[in-house]
Amino acid sequence: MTFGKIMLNDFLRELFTGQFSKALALLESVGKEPPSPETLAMLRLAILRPGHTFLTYQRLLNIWSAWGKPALKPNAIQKKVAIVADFTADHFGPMISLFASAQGVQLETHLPGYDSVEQTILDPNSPLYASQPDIVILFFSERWLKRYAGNSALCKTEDLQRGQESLSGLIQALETHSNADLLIGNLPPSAWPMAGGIIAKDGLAGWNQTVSRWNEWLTSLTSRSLRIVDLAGALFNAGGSAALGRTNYLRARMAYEMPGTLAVARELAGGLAHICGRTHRAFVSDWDNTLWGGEVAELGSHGVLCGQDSPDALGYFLIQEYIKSLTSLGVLLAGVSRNDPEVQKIFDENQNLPLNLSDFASLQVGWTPKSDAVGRISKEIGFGPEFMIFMDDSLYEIAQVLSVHPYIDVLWAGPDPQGTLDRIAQSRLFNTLSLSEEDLQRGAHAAVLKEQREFKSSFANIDEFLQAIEVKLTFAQLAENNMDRVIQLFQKTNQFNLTTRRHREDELNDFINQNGSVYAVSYEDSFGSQGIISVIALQAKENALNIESWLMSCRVLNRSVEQAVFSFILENAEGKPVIGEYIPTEKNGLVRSLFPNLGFELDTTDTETSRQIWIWKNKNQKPPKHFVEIKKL
Amino acid sequence: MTDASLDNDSLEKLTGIFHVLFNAPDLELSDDLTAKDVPGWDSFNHVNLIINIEEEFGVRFSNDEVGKLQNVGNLKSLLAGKLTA
Repeated sequence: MTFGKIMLNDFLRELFTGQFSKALALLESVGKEPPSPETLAMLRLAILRPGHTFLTYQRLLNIWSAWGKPALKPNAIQKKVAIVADFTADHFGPMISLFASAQGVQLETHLPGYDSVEQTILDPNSPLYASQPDIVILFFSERWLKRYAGNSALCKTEDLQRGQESLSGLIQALETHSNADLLIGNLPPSAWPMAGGIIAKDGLAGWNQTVSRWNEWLTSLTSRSLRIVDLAGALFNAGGSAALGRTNYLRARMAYEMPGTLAVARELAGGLAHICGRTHRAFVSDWDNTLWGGEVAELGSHGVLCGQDSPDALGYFLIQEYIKSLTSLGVLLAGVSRNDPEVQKIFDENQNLPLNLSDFASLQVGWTPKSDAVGRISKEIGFGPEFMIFMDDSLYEIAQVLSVHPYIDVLWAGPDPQGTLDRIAQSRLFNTLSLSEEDLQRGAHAAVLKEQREFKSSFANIDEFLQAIEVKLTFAQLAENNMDRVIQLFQKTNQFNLTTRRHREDELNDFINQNGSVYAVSYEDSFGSQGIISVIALQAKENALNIESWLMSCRVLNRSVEQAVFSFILENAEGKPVIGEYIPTEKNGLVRSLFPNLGFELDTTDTETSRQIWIWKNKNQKPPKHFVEIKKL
Repeated sequence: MTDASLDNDSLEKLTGIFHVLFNAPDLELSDDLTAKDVPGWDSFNHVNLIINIEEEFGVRFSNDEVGKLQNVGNLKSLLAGKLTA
């Protein structure tokens, strides 16, 4: 263990401030014995670090393979992925698998033959469908679009439309022959830019204009199973035209040079992580020398560097602006500082700081170890450290946090603000592909949560508090307007999830057709609305009502919501017994006692799977108390 | 082709590239080694090898030079020529 800690410290130093190659050599020295959580964390952090050569990531792939390709995050999600491209894409299976594993998604990839997009997709008997993929990645070189749009410097609008009709046909075929989710990459400009640029006149358009129109059209496509990945943006970040296939295209029909290949693989892996609900949801940041230059306790609220007065002050200003911008995507911010709590006043006193205290969903300012602070943040915001990024200028603090929370991802802040800014932006860790209403509101909820905590402390007991905040639950049947969020909750909820069945739309529709009812439960109290926070799936049997699935966001725990949801279930049982099911997982220990606490009796336990069946006999039992007003739509 | 030979550091680096790309940590780069001697050295991985050597050494081979390579000895000479040029 001590060896592991020393190695972690050496590794972090080489990873962030020394030589990447030495960090890799440390990992290679581990050998083939089963890796510890710490060594897995080191491998994961190395994979997440962008900007190295292809050979470096191949080295990481070899290490990972030598260890037997273990999951690099807890509760990793297994997916079968088919990669369909019109160019030589042999690098993508291994590299996407490596990058996705670092985000908690374990892939089995399948690559149909070279340049056989149409044959593969349109033929229902093709190996693509035989491989039964959960997700299909479809991405093109510009040569594919040029088959329809022609090679002229000016493209006719109707030729672009032929390309659009062709892709629409492919999407339709994929949706007909498979239930897979689709990830489609947009197009970058040309490696060899064509004359004609952005001209648009009389039904003709230059190639850059045509590519813009194509990409805009792609993002306008609406289908629940379809997501567009911004490969053009990823390639721009990786060096623009230098990342696009020139030498590689001539030699091997590869659409990108190696930096571009890595950037695209990373972006696609991020897309897969998004589909699987494994994107990061919280950014936990140190303060001194991370969000501003200097130490506030020494320099005072106005003495620290952040503003417009010097290159470094501007750098810190932009870091704060960048972090603040994440909140609009539903990312929660937390502040961790080893300081006297009094230093918080900097956010009121210094008007040059883009961040305000109210931007932080959780504040941990004090003298306890930062790993404790991260643990408290996790409790307050309701999800595990594996969904967080921790940023600090001190490698010691990073190592301390990692040694207790090996599944948190970390960024080093330094050696100057530009280095920090580059690292945050290039990490691509908050790269979301689509947003649900709840994502958009999560930031607002963060402030509400804080207010509620403060409010809570002024009440004598929790019952009094709950009565005062007037909680209302609204139960709505599954419908078009709540489908996205319901599916998202099924995919993402790990802790308050009794059966952890990852239902998707088609399964839910089948369930409803078999006497099932699925309800989306929305929460509201005197602080505001939290949107849909729970889903229940109930199935009426002849002599009982079964609770097939019950999941809930942890942010509404301890408010008698679960008791209220159960009273709604009881109403639906119409006097019949209620059967509850609990399938234990590594993550759902939180709900182990839910049924006994509600008054259920244990019926059976499967000795092999530990699956438990609980029964509420419904014979004059008193339902548990709650403080919630219930409304059914 | 030139008659230049690779210095030890460059030979070690080249050997390292082979080890990583073919996941063969014990492979020795004898001059008469050819693609058929190394599992996984197919046409795609040949291009991949050349690309990675170019990237790691910061050199560029012409397509003609790549086309004429017969064995690892040729590759070492070609690379040595680029590094001393």
